Amino acid sequence: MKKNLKKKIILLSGAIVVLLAGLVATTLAWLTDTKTSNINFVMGDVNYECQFNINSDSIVVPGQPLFNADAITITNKSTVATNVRVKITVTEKDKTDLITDIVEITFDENSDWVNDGDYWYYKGKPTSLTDDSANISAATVPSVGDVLNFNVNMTFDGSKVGNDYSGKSYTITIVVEGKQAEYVLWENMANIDFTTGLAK
Amino acid sequence: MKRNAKSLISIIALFILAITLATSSYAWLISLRRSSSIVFVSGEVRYDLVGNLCEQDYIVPEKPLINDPYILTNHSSVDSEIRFQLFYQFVTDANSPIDNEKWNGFDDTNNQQIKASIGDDWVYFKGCWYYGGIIDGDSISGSVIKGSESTSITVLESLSVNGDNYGNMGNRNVKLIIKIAFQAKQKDYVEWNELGFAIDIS
Repeated sequence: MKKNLKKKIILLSGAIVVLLAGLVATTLAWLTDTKTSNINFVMGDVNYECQFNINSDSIVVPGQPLFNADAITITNKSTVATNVRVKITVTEKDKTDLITDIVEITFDENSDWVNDGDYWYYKGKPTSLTDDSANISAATVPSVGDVLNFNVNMTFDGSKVGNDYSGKSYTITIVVEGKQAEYVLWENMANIDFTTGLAK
Repeated sequence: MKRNAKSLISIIALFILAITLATSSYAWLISLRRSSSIVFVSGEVRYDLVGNLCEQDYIVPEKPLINDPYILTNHSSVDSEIRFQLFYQFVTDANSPIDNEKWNGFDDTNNQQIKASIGDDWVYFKGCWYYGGIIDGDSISGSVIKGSESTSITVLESLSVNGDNYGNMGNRNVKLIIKIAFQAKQKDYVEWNELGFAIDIS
């Protein structure tokens, strides 16, 4: 008889525990709602490849072309619309002082390259982000695979390069920079490291 | 014969008595009142999130990514509070799966690789944006959105990659993944800190 009573008490206790657990579980079920949106984009890429057609003569004289025809070929490998510019600098070998003015840089009459400051801009330097023919559209390199010829004529300037320059070596550096055509102007890129795309 | 008849009568009498007793034992002293039916309707917290992206193959820094702002519309039957988190991740190898350890939460600072214009009245607190949030020490409560009102709330007005902070990643086809995780709760009887400050998006 006592044994039966004990069994009943155990069963009753178990039932109470289950009931309490059920109550606790119920109080955690608050009224809520949730939504999640997944959005995917692919970043564009600005990428140019360059080929240099340099005069192979190891010793040059003033007036002699330093590049052959189609001096620099720039091929657009970008996935978005871009702008391009080229900068040429000259230093004495292993020195850092710029002596760019000892070379004469000219282009054919119908060249697409427009000089502004230290750079030659492909079809000019847009000054506004407004999409009109005078600005972005004209200077934009539109398609992947487009080949731009930087057909520069470059010589040492005979009026500046005299006998003092004989036997010396000079380094000519050509920097080709590309940027996305939209949302940013060249003038906003003054402090940008073109290798990283971030501020210097 | 007479004796048999008496016995039969006795048995029948006993039987009738038994039936009478049995019937009367159900007739307890009772009284019964029934209330009218009590019906509870469980409230509902429900929001719709709508918005439209700009369709484009490739994006560049500063290009607007959202066409129509992301807007929440309240369809709840009870008062509620809302919050959301905005996450982003650049995946340098387009074939790689999303790494749940690498989500960046968009906060209220300017040193992010994305720019986002959050709607009015959202307050940033411990990883989440709370609508009409009022911070009180370690907890936050939001503006009450009435259950009876079909309120529309702007979550995200604009979104773009931040040109100042996003650099060349050295790979083509870098993928930008944005995730907006939104949560709503009943206004009363439970606080945000009881539900946890982080939204599980894994």
